Amino acid sequence: MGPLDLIANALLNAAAPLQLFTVLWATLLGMLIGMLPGLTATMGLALLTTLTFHMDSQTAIVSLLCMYVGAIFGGSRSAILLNMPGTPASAATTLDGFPLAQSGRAREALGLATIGSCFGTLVGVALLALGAPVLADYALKFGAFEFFWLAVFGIVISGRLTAMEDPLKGWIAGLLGLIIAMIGQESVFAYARFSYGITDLTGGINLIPAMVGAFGFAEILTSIAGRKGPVVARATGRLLPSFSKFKKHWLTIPRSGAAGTLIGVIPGVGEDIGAWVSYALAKRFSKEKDRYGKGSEEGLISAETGNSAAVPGAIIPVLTLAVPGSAPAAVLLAAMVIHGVRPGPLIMIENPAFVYDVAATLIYAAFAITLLGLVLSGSLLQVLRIPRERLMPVIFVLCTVGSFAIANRLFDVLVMVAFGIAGFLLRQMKFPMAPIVLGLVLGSLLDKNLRRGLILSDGSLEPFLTRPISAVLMAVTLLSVLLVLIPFGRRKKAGPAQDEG
Amino acid sequence: MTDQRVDRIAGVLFFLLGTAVTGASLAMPDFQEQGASVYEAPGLTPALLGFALAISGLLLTFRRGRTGTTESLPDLRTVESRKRVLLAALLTLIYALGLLGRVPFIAATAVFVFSFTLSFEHLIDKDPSKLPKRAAIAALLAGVVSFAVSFLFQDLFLVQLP
Repeated sequence: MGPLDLIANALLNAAAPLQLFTVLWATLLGMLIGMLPGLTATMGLALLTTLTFHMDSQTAIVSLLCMYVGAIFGGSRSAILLNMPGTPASAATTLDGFPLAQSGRAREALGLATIGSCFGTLVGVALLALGAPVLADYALKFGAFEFFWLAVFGIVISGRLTAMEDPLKGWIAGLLGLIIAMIGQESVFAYARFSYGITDLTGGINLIPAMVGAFGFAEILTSIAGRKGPVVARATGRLLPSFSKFKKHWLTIPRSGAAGTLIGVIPGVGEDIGAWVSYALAKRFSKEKDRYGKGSEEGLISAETGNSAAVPGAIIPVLTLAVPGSAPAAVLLAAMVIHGVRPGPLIMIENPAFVYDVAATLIYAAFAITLLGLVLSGSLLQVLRIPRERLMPVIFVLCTVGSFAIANRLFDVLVMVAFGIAGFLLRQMKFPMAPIVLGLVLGSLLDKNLRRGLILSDGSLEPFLTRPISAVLMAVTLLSVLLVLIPFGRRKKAGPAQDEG
Repeated sequence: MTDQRVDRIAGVLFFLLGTAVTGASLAMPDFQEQGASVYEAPGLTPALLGFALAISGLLLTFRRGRTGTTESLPDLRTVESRKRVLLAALLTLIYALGLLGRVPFIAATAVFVFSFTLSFEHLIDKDPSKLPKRAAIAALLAGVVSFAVSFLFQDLFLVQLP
């Protein structure tokens, strides 16, 4: 069976009423979380993971995938109406979405963003269905040397792209994540590193409380620091954009979708960079460059297509390499493991239907955002009027309960609080969060494969440098470091890219 | 505080942290007496990571001043924003590390939501005539949230609460 038949099968299997109901509520919940500035997709996924413990594996993963798609899309609502991205992924959406709202075309902007997000997700799903089997097949050739370089490559590229203004800070963030991942028992001798006799530390730092802290609690502190809440623009005008608008910008969708997906595939980079790259690409090829930033429909479509396409993109390495393409994808990876799925190079051998089940769920989620985005556009906006002073304590209660529920221990609440305060301070100093998360995920992969590789080569570094895939990953990694460190490599800044998804 | 000064302080802290990590990693046992290879030593990877962090800290400390970057600590620049962040941090810490586990969940959550909502609404507008109405809203929110979260997690999703 080809990929199309497999997706058709998966679509039929996922069409059961209960699954479709899950798609709808999880997408809606994701949209609500994404809409609210201060609540991110990462935090939403981390909190929902704790609620899925007693669900069956299929329902749990469907709900998490739909929450992910919904949250990234939901960010566009506040970006357009408040000039404030609900999630960092919608930062590029504010550039043209808010000027459109100011000119009395808010509903049209919401409609354009909805259709752009739907098509972006669909382009991403097509590339996932085609690309994941190829990448999984290729990943079977990976040994210890290649996995070591993949971990280093992920940290370096993530640090570089999430802190365009100051990559050194991105790399420091990545190193911090890797060092935190070293806490607890290592895999060879079960020696408890950096535990100092504290029993709770011997098991290591759990990813979910750390992420709830870094993306939830830190965001609460950032949000509450400002004195006044934002003012919501009036949603007036026509909602459903005319067909001629899309005909006019028909090339933007596949181009931005492909760019967003490819950026999503890069470990730890995420939807915000996907949107910025898609936006920059659309502007470069546009016939109306001067309209960008002043309410360009094409600019809005490209940003929303780009961030939504990055979602399936970020899931591709999760499925095939067990390496997350973004911060929310890192939570998804952890949740998949909790629910008994084993992502990685063997996925197309052990569980090939799973990849297409994911693709089918994402297709349903794309339709759900379109339906909910168009039908509930007015009523959902009431959520944006809830004062922060009443919303933030509720969010913190959820952060606390979610962290505790992972292992029923108060130590994880302490981890959440520590990561929240550290995350807030690091953000204030312009350190991105995504490389820290990626470091936490990739730490054990790096450690295991460095030691395994050195034992296999009897201490020789040669295989790390000469095996073809290792050599390519090493060359790209070193090149991106040298281009930053050596003065002639200093180039113009590519955009206000900072952080997370 | 200027961007450069904040970076320098952070750079020194990262250098010290990196050095401490490397030192602690080198002090870890290498299990060679059990016939293990030196490349299997548990401290190998963290030592290298600590070294890389120390070098990065030095680069951050001693690099030349950067121009055109946004200023650090944007949410801690004014006295008012510092006060708001400190108050939020204090209330959340009291709830998460002081009340939970010692006081029943519903009571702890109700106290936290009530005090957080009322404190911040009062900070925005200190008009004493509005206080009773705000206190009533905060109390209602506290009651609804504490019972709703308890029902949602404990009864509906069968998740244990602190």
